[in-house]
Amino acid sequence: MANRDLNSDALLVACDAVLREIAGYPITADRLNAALPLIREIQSAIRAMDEVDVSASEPMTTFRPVA
Amino acid sequence: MNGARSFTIREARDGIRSGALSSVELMEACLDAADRLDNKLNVFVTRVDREVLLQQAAHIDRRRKTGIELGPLAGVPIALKDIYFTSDLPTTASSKVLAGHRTTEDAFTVTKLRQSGALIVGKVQTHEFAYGPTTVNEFAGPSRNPWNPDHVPGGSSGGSAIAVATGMCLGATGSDTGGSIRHPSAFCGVTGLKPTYGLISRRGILSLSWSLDHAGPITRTVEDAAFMLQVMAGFDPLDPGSIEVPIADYVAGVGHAPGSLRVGIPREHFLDLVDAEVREAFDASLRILDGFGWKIEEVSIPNLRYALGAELAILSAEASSYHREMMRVHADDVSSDIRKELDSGMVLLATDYLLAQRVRRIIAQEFRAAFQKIDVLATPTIPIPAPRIDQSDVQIGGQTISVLSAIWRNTYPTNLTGSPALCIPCGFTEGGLPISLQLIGRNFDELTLLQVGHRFQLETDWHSRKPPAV
Repeated sequence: MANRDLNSDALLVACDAVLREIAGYPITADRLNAALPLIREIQSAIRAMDEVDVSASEPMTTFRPVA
Repeated sequence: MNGARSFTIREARDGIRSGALSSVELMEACLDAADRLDNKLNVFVTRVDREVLLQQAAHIDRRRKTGIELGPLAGVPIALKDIYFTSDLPTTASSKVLAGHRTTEDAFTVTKLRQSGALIVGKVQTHEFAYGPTTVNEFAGPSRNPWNPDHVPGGSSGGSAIAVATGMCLGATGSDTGGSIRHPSAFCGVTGLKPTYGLISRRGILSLSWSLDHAGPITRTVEDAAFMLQVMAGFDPLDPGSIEVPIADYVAGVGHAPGSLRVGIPREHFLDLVDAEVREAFDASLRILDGFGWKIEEVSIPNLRYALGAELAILSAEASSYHREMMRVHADDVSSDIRKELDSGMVLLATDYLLAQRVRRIIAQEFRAAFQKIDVLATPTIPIPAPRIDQSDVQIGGQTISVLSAIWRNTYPTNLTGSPALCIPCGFTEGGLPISLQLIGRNFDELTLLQVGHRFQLETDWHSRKPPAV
């Protein structure tokens, strides 16, 4: 399971690299710092899903409910 | 007339058709309410000119007198959340970025409402870009709860619920990606319906997260929700999420409550963190449902604890994708809370988005399994009453959690599953703030939800109470 206790400094460096170098998304250091607590919260909730066995669940990119 | 708040859509429709009520009279009452309360509560982004509306209302009255058939909502004043496109009014999403923004066409549902004879009174405030549960905006200012203006009205369809609660209109449109129809309906003491995903077209409605977005009505009563749903529902081949299913006769059927019904109470998640007054009102509601001879039983949806991760991954990724180009150019004009949300969604892994969709499928399967045993699931709509505008945290059962987390806790699971959910007033706190009951149904079985909700409203008067300012 992934580590849920995210290190702030490492997270900042990782996000900065992803946004600037990979996504080409213009963001200032101030803006990234402001978003960091929310990023940590979202990532923590996402990592909780690692406990779920999804092997029987096909990826579903278009959602259509079944009656 | 004692204010438009005295009329439901059903009563106004019947009155206008019989001639007992003029459409002009009704419109004047709505306009007067808006004149009196709009500035205080921050409801409208754009109002239609008074004389234009009175002319439209007079046209309805002339048609009736000359025997021309009237549409199902003829003369009924309706407000639109300011993310529904309108050819004659700006659509701003309560954002500085879109100030004065105009579209050439109406949203699919706006066209249907106009064809039904509804009179569009204006565009009402949303949490900026429909991305938040309070309608407290940096650019547009805070909208205020009509039961206590120091408290939030809920969001993101906050303006819609305030306008209905105060008689500025008889019905309003909303949208719901994590609970945005149900939060303001619950906090403002009105009725809100998030229909099944795909039942109402989203074409011409600004998106937040396309696989979670639902459009729906906000009204005073469940019967009125049936009237609006009847007009708004229907297949639209130009909305990729629209689903072609038979549309029930909600208006004719709403009064026929089922003789027997199995009401499920969730074992997990929904009742884990609930304010004491909300819990008391919820338990009292269950006793009312039990009194109808309906069976109340516990039901389990074990993987609900992973719903938050799935909702956040999908919502964040889709919203940031949708707004990506806008953010490249206009990020400085976006309010700081929304900017944080949209920046956060940019660092999600594609594999996590797909993990979320797979977990979502498991939760949807568990909902379907639960609905083999029950007909309706009952929960508190929101675990807390409306917080103060300046409040950031709330204490529930000895735990401190953020108000934002608390507000959407019981609503986002059904955005993942696409299930229909109806919320109705079911009590008040000692401080005079509304409390709401949520009824969740099988996919595309809105009719049962409406029947159950209407039966509840025949037995109770919570939906008839007026905010002090009205």
